[in-house]
Amino acid sequence: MILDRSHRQWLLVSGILLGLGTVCYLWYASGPAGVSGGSLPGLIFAIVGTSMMIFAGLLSARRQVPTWRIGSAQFWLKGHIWLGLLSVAFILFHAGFRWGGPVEIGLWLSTAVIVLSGVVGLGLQQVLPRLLTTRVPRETFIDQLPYQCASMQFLADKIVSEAAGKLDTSARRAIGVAEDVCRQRKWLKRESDLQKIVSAIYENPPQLVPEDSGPAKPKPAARKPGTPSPLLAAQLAAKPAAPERPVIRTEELKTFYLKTVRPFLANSSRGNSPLAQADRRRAAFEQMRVDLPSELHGVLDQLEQFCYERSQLHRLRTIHRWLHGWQYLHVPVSASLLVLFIIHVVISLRVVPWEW
Amino acid sequence: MAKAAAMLPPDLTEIAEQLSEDDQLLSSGELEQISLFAELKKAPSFDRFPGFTVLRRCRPGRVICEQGEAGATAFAILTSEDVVSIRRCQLEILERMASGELLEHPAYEQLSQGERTVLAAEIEAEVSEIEERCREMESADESTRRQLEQVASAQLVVSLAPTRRGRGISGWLKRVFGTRSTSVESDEPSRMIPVDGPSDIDSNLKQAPLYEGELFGEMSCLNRSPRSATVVATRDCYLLEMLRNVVDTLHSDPRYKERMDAVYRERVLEGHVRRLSVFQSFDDAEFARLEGQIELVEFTSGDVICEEFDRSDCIYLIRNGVVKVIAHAWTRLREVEFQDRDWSAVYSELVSLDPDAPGGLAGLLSESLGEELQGELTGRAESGEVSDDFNGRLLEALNGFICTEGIPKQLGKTRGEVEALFAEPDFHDLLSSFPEACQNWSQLETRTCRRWLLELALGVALPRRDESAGVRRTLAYLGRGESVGEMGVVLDLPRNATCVAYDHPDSGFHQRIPDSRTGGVPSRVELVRIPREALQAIMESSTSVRSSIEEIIRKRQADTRQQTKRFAFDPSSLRLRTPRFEQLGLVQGQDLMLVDLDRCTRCGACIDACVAAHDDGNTRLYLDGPRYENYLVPLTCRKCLDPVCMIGCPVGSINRGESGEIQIRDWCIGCRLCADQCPYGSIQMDHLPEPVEPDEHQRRLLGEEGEVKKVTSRAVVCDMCSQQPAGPSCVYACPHEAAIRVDARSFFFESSEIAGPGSTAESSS
Amino acid sequence: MNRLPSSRELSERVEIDFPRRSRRRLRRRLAWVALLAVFATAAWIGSEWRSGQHRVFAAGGVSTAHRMIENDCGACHTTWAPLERLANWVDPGSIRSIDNSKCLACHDRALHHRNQVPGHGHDGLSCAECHREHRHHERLARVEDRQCKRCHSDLKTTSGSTSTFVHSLTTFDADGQHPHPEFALKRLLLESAAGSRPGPEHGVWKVGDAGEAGESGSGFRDRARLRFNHSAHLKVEKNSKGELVVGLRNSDGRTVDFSKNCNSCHEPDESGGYMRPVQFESHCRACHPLLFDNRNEPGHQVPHVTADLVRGWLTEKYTLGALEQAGSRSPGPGTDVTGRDSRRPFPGPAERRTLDPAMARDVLGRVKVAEAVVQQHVHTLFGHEAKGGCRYCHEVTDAGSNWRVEPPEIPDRWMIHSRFRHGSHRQMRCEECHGDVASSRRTSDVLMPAIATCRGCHSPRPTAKRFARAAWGARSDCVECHVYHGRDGSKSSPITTPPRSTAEDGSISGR
Repeated sequence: MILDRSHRQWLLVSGILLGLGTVCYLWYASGPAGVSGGSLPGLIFAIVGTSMMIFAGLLSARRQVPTWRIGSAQFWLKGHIWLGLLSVAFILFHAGFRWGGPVEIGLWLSTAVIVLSGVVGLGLQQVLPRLLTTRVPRETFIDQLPYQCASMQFLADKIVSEAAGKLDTSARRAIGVAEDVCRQRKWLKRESDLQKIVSAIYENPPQLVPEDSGPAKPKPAARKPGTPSPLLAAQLAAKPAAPERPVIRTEELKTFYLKTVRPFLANSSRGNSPLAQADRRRAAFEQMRVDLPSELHGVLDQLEQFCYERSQLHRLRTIHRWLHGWQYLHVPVSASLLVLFIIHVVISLRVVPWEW
Repeated sequence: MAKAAAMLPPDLTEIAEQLSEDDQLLSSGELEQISLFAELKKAPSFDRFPGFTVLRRCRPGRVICEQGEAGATAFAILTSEDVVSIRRCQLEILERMASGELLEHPAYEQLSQGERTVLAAEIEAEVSEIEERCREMESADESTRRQLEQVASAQLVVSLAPTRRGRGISGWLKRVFGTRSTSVESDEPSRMIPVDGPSDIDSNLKQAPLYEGELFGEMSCLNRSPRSATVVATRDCYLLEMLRNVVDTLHSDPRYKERMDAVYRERVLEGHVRRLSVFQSFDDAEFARLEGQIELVEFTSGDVICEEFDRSDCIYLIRNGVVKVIAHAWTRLREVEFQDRDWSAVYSELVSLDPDAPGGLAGLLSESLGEELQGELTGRAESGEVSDDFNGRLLEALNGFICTEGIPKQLGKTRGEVEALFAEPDFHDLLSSFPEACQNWSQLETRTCRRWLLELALGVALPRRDESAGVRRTLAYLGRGESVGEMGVVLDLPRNATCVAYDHPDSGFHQRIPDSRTGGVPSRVELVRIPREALQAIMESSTSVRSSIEEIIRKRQADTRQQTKRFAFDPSSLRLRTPRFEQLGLVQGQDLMLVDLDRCTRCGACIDACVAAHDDGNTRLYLDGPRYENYLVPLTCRKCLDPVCMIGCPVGSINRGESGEIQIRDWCIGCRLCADQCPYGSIQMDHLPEPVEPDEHQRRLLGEEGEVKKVTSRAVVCDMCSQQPAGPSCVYACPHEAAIRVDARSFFFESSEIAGPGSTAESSS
Repeated sequence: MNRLPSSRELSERVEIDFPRRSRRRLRRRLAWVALLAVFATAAWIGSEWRSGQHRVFAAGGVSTAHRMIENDCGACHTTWAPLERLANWVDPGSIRSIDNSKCLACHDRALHHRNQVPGHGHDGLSCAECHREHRHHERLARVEDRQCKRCHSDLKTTSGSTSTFVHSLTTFDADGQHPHPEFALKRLLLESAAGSRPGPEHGVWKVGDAGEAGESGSGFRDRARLRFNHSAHLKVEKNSKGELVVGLRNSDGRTVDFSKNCNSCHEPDESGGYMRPVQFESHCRACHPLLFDNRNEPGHQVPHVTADLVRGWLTEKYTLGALEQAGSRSPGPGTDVTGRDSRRPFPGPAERRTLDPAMARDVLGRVKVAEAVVQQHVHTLFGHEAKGGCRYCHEVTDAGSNWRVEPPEIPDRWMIHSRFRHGSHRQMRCEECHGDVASSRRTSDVLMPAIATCRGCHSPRPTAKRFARAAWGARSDCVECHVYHGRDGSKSSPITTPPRSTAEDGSISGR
């Protein structure tokens, strides 16, 4: 939430409310009876402040039903921010600026934590999105990071295997996404193609069972072949013979890929691994270019591209953590605040606790 | 089209399935027996393309084609008579072969003598059997005869069951309190689903009969759209499977063509014209009057529809595609340009063209001027007398030169070569934005270039275009349903802008055509041409039409006034011309979703909202996509001006909703066509958790060994939450004011200048 | 690497049905952590609950005195009171969270003043209003000034008649608005000295009109019936060598400087609060022996008792003396006054001796003389020849056969509305407050300090030199000096109780 002109009304309104609250408080604090949460004004302050807090808390509930037309999300978030801040003042008035007992202190502490974390989060939201935009040009949405990594692995596997022959690696994750990847790139003309592709890549591929037809299953309509039509003959003639791929020193490539690149592409790889830094990555690939014949440079380029994108995803994840990590403080503490709040209300309204 | 078809498909096995024992290839002689070809004006010469037709014999339960499959062939169901005649001539061929003379026949050549005799016997038996049936039919009354004629049935394997409800708490809440949503369609009464065949399919029966002598699968054959239905033989029958070029010959045949056109007019044209705001108020009588004079015109992309300062003789209604309206893009010479110039200088210039001017321009010019004009010119050059009508003729001739198609070979084939002709920096700048090969230049580009050439050739005498014309500015992208030139027609003014046929910038052929087996159809802009007279006639008769048109005129005038106001400098137009903007096709977006990356915290609230807003628990929005300026252009429907996704949906299940949003109805057969056609990857194929299977009736029809594959996926597209009261949920649910939906044109030109009648007409369509 | 991809190309990398695979990790994790937090909090509270320690729910630690009922909220609080208050929209009103009756069960204390408004009880003040509980170790008695000001800022009476006290009193500070007035005692004396005659002042003890006292001079003064001269007792002179030349001589004849140690006469009581009454036996007799017949009875002194007792004592004294002399005609060793042999009692009835009339007459005479001496002596010479007398200090009325000594009526406290601890002020010298002692010659001088003296330290801005540099002064709130309810647990109001004095038993406190 960027703080901009659109917040002016909220700022104004909450400022006015704060002013009113303060005036009322001063008037009532200067009275003979003094301040006390249990007095009528105290209770009123409590009710006002609490209702603000509850409104702020309802934001999460509202997120569960995004399609209800109960005020736009922006309205709710602004309310969350401003009323949330304002509520603290009113609760202070309610408490007459005293800490109270353990439960109340608990309430205070959690409120402080919530407000602080919220403010920090808000601050981060002013900066980090721009950072993310500039630092991560190849951004994708965080939810599909694992898929991205797996599919990158699969594609890289494919490229490498085409250049250097089948890979002997446990490729469960990569194969998991293989179908989607192939489908989206329209590599699957038939159901059986998937199995073909996969077994072309891996030494010992698992037996994939596409939903309806097994890989080996012939097309239903195709019956026993009759006389070969000249169409087929013509087409066979037309098909260019597969060029003989020069297989030179592909083992280095394969080992380099399996040892270094593939682990880095994995979802579980660490952001501080050597390939994550641009210069070291470049150095590594330059080294490989020197080592490997020029036929394989194309493959290297593609691999480098993958690594580049993977490193971007690392950065994405890091910044995203920063951008949303503070919620791990904000949300749970507000949950416990709710509990404490209920206890506080019950105990202090029904001053005498149950018979024990 | 013929060109496109002539190239051999790279993988024919994909198109035509393997020959089975009963199938065979027909010789041209046999083919000519078929009534379909017999009735053509000139019978196709089948020798030119042997083996592009296959005769398939289908036993009951055989699956001829499956819905959603890529298909490139059309099927003609042979009538019994055809079969008989074919068989007959085959018999005689066999006999002649038996009698020892050498005939070349695709099928029988390889056979041994013995086999031939066996075959002959079989055929005879069959012929007699069929003749038996024919007699039966003649004797039978209409209904039974129809039944007998039915040979196959087109099946649809689609589930029209209500879509799944959301799961979890939110799903429950939605069920309890939520807004009504898309399940309404499912409980509509039965409707006819259009398929690639003679008759539509009833959505309840999910099948339609196919009769002898009918032709189906043309659409797939012509523009590669997937099979719209699964066709299963119900009776023992013969089909003639044809490749595209055969069908093309059919189409190229005037008789066939006019038949098709008639069909087209009656089916589509009325619907389109009626949809336009101008003609909504027409009653049938008026429309009938109009329809007579309406003609359908097509422009391939890049063509110039009309040029600025042309006489406006007609209104164009855009039926399909986008028309780019550009100011100051005229190329023709005009008298006004010559006002303060003396013609004699021009004459002399023209006369004294040195023949070895670069690229032989002189020769070209002179031939475009023509003999007697040349002679007169020389005469006048000496005498120096000037006459207007001569000037008019002269200009015509010169304009003729300008408007000629293509760049003459001797000038060069590539941009570089043409540039090399003149050492003129401006000229180079002009050409720098053109494609490399001259043949790829659009018409407008060609004309501009030619005008330049003329000026360069004639030097001082000819007025320079860029002196009188300002910088080119794109005024508008007019889309489906908008109209061009009505102001000119009504006020009898010349065209005030140049209109160019435009199309999706980054939609290459590979995207237009589901499978890149053949070259694609170059995208066309289809217009309805309403001649001026016709409109005037009708305007006099009906007040409503006049009012609605005058409404448009008022708007237009306002716009032009604004434009003239902002002539001084218009950064937006510059911005619009950035290639990136063109590449991303943002102009297409009427409801283009943009995410302000400086605000977006990537919280995914929009996606959650999208998931919650639709019952199938899947999202229509992916926060991934290209960036433009500081905006992310996410993958979701942008409600294109020209929704190419709709082109050739086999079952017509994708169409516009009330507010113009794209919606995919629930009888989608999951053929991926729309998903593949969308240039922006905004349509996704959603895996159905439980695949749709043929119902028991269809099973019975198929028999036990006949299998059709289940429908496992369904196209999903953003419907702009048209069911929701407050517009798209994604925008509504964005807490950070990052997500917005805008009309890209008015958003990126920060102007109302192109918010012409287009937008209103669009929303109403 | 840097070619910008089109939407189309990017669309190939999205995972189509990621929502179906429910990939909103952040949201789900958040939910779990929140749940955890809820449970943790609930567990904490629950454990506290089960432990029976309800301190958790209290708004703060209870005062030390109430610790034993800390866990029994019901002992003081009323159920749902705040809710009712909210419902009936009244404040503070009749609905109280703490009812007075619950306090009075243990603390039955007197009203501050009989005429005060508002009174105590159901509609009046509630104890909890002034005595704030749950303030940890803060003493409940430490009532804030605000509470006092509620009435004293504008004093009213039940009868509606104007109060005899100051109508509005808001601060002790001199230059505050409505400051504390001069101490009543002092004011009276000053005003009278200035010549004006103020009306009878409530609660001022033992200062009265001179006319009544029948002494010379006019104006209000101490009416104690005793003659004491402070200056005479504190007179001190030193020679050049710094040795004492003039001062009081004590019993063993050494000169002593009394000006330095007041508490050789004024001893603090056990609590160190007030000064004990001065006792003749311990403080005066050493220098003021009550000799009566130094020639016959050298060094013998009469006891410091009432006249009758003195007479009786003298009679006995002389009688025994007479009998002794009679016995000394035939003085036998070891015979006592009765003439009985004390050395070795013989069996059989002892020999009885009685005064013969002549002796009795002689004795009576001597007694009269001695009595007169004791009674009438006006001036005393010190030393062994000295003759002392009651009249020297006391008022002796109706001289003659049955003379008597008037009770001195010395008050044990002057300012009875307030509390004072000499102990707390021990770092100060006596004369810092009781300044004019050295110069006071007459008993009628009242040597109490004025309010200004107190303000020297008891003020937000101390004026006393010694504390000038202190950032703030001694406390100056009401309860520093004044008590609201009766003192030391008495049920009677502090204002309406008559001050006790030594005179109540009518005798000089001698024994």
